[in-house]
Amino acid sequence: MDAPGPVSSWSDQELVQLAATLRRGMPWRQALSAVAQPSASDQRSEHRPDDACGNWLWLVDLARWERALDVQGGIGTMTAALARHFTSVHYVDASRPPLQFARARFSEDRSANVACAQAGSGALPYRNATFDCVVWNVALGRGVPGVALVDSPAVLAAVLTECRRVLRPGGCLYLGIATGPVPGSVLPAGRILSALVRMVVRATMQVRRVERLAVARAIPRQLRAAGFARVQAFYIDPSFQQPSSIIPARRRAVLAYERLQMTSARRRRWLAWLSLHPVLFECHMFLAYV
Amino acid sequence: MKHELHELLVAADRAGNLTRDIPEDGILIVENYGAIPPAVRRSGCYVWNRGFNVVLLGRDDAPRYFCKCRPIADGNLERETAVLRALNSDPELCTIVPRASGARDGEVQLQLNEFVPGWLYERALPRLTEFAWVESMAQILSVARMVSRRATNLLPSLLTTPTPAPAPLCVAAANALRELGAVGLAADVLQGLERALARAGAIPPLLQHGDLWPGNVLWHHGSWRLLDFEVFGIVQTPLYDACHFVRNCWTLREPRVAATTTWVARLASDARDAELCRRTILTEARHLGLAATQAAGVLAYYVVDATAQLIRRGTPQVAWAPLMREVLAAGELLRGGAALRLLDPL
Repeated sequence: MDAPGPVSSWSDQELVQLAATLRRGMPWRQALSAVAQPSASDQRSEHRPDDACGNWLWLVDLARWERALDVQGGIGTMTAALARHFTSVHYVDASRPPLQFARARFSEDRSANVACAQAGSGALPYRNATFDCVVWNVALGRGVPGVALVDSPAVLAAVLTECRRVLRPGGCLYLGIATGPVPGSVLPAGRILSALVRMVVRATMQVRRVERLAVARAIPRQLRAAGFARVQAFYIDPSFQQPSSIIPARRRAVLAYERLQMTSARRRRWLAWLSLHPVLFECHMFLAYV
Repeated sequence: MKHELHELLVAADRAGNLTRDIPEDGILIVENYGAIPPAVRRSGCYVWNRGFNVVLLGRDDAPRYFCKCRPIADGNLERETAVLRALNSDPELCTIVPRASGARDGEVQLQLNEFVPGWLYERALPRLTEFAWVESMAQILSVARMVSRRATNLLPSLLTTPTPAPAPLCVAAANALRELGAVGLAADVLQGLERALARAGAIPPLLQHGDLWPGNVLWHHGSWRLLDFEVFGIVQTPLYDACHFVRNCWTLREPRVAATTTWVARLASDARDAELCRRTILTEARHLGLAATQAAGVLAYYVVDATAQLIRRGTPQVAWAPLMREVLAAGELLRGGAALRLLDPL
């Protein structure tokens, strides 16, 4: 599970490129802009230094705000957010390129309260009850096609138990699970090929929706099995990279949110009304308390 | 929710109902613009689109309160809360502007409002008949006019120019024109705009909402309510709100035309939608005691000022380019002395 692989929405190749660019002495923000593909730059908002991805922390009820851990921290976006709320933050990632990038980033930003280390999420190099908050964001392949939810129960059980172990009593685990972006249109293709692709995409979308229902039901169960006492579920809309809204995963709360939206999507409201709201959102967030 | 946020909400809740009404997990984050605390602390400098908004849900998960959360350095929230409190204390305005209260600590500030259910005008607008559109615009502009007039009495400290001797419009727009010149607006276009502004002369100040667009207008229990007073009173040129409102209404109703032409160029055409826009602006100008030349001057001032504001905030060019096209169109039309044609009543 901790083998080098796609550890964020950045591919392995891009992360290696990022690390190489940094070694040449380029500042980390410039390196991100240089490596990001222009066509994908709008989706790659995670490189923005002041994004809103850490505002979920205002939903967390913690007695102490001293030590936090970012498991599988990628390029360090969430670590940076945690560093503004906690006295001390630890970043770990099993893969070397993102770790090099994170080290350069936090050294350049003079973030004195961030420490980076190479470690797998299945064997965290910390003693029991060390942290007030542990973050495992975009867990299980972070929505990378072909990787999501492969043997997920085993991965989850191992990592959640480990996260639970390093949390102090009263501490909180943030678990973010993406069920994967739905592919858009395939442009340079003939009519027949496009039609076939659309059929496959539609089938994939249905599978993903069913997958979302499964995530919403299975994850709280697994969190409790790992020893967490209280679990709160939320949806993040539209994505972890652009978390415009954070919605409690309850029927009436989702209905209230849908009413606030500009689009009058009746189908969405019907699904919410039927308590099938997990299918409406790609990004599921869980706060689990010890 | 974070203890600090809970404490602030309780402090802002002067009626003391919040703790009873809102469960610990009854919080829905919407419009999550930027991190609190911000990544870089820049005290004293207004930062656009920071912080997030929250809808507080009751025990039945129905929305009860709307709350704006901003970093402590954001100067607009406290100002807006003070404006809302002053306006809401007026018996005529208490049904138009939301009741608000505020609280702050060393890291975050918030503004708590009662949640007002209703239909945003933005949502209804594309489906309205022509008659209903014109009628509703007139009603909303009349509400905004009443707020502006009452506010000028309730908040005299917001007025930056004395009423008896207001500055000419071309003087008020001088900085904005300079800023547009700095980003490459041609000298002859600037001259055309300056001439139109000079023709308008001096206009007595009137506090404007500043962001009156259909997304900030709510239909609630049979009457119109105005939302988002963050920049209220910063613009003090009468008819500015009307220009902004009519332009945005037109863009929402005529998205295909808006994709190919500017509103200002359209306004000078014989198209039916243009005639309705012109009529609405000129009717409002009459209510405000402005002549057609003055209205044309305010229109030029509006496109110039709105564009300069966006540039000043450091927004990317893609955001202000459409407004710049409006400026170019206005300059183009006004250069040939067509000031009256722009808002010529048919």
